Amino acid sequence: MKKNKIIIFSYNEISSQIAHILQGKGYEILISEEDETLQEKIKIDGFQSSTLSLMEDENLEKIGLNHADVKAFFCLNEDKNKNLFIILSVRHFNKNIKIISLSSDIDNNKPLILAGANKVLNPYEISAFRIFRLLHKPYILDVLDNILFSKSDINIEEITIKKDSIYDGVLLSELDQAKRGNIIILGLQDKELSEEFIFFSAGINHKIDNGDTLVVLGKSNDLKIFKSLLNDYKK
Amino acid sequence: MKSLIISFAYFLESSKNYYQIKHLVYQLLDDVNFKYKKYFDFAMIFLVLSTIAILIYEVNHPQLEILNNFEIFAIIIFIIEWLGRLWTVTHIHKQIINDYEKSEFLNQPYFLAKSIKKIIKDKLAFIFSPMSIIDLLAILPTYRPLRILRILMIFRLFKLLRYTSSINEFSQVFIEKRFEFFTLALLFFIAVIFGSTIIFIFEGAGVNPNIETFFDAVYWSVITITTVGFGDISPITLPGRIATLFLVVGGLGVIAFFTSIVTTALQEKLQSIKEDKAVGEANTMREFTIICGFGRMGQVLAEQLQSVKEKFIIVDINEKQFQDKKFANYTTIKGDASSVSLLKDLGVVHRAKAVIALSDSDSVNLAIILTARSLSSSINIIARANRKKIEKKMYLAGANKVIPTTDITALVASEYVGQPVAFDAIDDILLNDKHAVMEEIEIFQNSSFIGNSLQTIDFDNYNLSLIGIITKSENNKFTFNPDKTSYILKPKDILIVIGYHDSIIQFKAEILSQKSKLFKRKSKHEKK
Repeated sequence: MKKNKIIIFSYNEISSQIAHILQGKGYEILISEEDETLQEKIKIDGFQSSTLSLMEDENLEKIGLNHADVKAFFCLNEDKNKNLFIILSVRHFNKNIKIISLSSDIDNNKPLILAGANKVLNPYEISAFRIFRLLHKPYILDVLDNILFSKSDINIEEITIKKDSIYDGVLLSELDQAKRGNIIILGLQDKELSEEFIFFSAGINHKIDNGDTLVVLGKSNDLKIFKSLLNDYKK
Repeated sequence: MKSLIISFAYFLESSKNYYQIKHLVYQLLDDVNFKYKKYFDFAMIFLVLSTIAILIYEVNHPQLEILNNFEIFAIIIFIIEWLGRLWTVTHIHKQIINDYEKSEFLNQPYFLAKSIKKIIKDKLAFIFSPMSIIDLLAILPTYRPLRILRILMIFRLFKLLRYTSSINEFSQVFIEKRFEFFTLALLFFIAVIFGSTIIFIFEGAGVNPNIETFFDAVYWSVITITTVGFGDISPITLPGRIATLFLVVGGLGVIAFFTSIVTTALQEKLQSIKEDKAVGEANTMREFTIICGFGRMGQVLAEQLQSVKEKFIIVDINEKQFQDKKFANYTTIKGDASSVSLLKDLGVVHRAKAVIALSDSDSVNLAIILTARSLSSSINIIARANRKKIEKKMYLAGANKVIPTTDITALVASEYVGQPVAFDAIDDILLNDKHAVMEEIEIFQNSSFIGNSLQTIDFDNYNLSLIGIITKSENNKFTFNPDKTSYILKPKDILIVIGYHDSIIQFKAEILSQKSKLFKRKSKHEKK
């Protein structure tokens, strides 16, 4: 099976960490870095790299940004104008790719989103929120860390309901405790209705259709069982 | 007689009421941090201002009976206040007891007179202190034979100084800058003597009809040197006019010197007054957080803390960080957060609950951690680490939690690749949006839920999902999705639930008042 690919633009401290984490999760990493002096370091760190400049449109194709197996594009240059330019051209080149970028200034988020980024992360904000949680709700932070960053067996997973699943057309509330096993349904996203996430506690009467994405919490094993259950086809 | 006094002193020493009353009077008069003091101060300021107003009114109006009575009332209050200060300034009975016990210890006869001498000396020291003299000057003019001293009533205005600590600070300026002021006064004095001598020599001996005595000459030179120049006395001879020219130019210099001393001194003072105010605010706070470093992270954190009404103080070495209007209602202090004295003043030792080191320099953060930890072993210290390598050192220095900024961002960013929907859900929860919130609910020690199974709480009824339970008694063990029938609630358990804000508030209120709906239903069940 071919591995899913991630392309990261610019090599710096944060992109190296992201690359390491994603490589650990089994993605193939390609670093796009024009600076020749960094090539050695990228090689030592164990990633593939390309020195083609992304400022030229034809190079976007050359590094494979239009391939279906490229899952995401990280735009992590320190220069925010360069980021804007590249996000804009990548989005124009590939409508479906997931683009994630960083901005150190909250006011900058909007232009980046307008340029076509799916998600703009703000390191200062993320860290500040984390500290706030530590002060305000320390236990929840711990629980979420365990779930999100997989220190324990408990995971968060999203399951998309396929067509003809036995749960296609069932009310959310009918997925009762017994069927759920030892898992918790956080909620679902109904692509047809909106991009907004519906929490389980409010969406009891929501009808599950194919294409909906359920977000569930549970131990890896239970999740597997639940997943196969959901994907049982109607006879 | 002597033994009677001694036993009375012991009686006072052991009397709780006496102490309480004396302490209350002291707080009212002198304790800046006492919360009712400001009402007392306002009342006194009103009295002072109103008696001054009466004085002005009576200059060209007939005396009114009611105003006289008010005057007497005010004076009585002033006298009581002064006596109160005289009373609380030292403890007479303690002096007696101390001396008595000392002589008992040394096996020597005790002389009451000796103690009385000491007591009188202490009290006199108070009576002749500047503030007490101002008080006395405010009282004395009412005494009929001293009616001529009515003008001294103006001194009551100085009483206002007592009730406004910041004006007090300004008067400090004159003490701190006394060397400069002394130089200035000397310069002024020399110039005046110089000028008046010249004018007196040239124009004093009947030349100028306006200058008859040396005092006229001094008066003229002071009016000239200060650039006021009334013109009632003016030089008529050439040497006199030349002297005037020098005096006027010299006068400008003196004025400039004076202005610059006062303005710089006041500016310095203003800064420290502002800080004292912030430190004073910190002194009245409890359970607050100290944010050290007010960059972008500090701003986001402050915003969040503000939104949940948590108390905090911000320290930054660069005051420019505070200048935005947005931060006007934050308590801010300019200073070095790694300095022991500042952190101590802010109450790291007993009152603050957390210190957050958010400087963008790792070494500064390390210094803040070490300083805070050296002051308190129990305070919660959270620090930001810009480089991962420093993380371990920060834990060694005593941080409770270190946040490596790039690490966290990288983790979050890479999580976003895999499960964006799940991530958005968590993001929503984390960012405390209007949607759903995750909340910790603690089961209190004497809650009646203790010993019952989880089933007794009907989460569905509140539209809440239970994620898990943290068992404090078992080293904060987290049980994910515990079995509702077999899990028995223990004291200090923490329930982690997800739900909408409103339902969580309702749930919390009801679980605290212990009337969960299902709980009732279950008790009915038991009756059957």
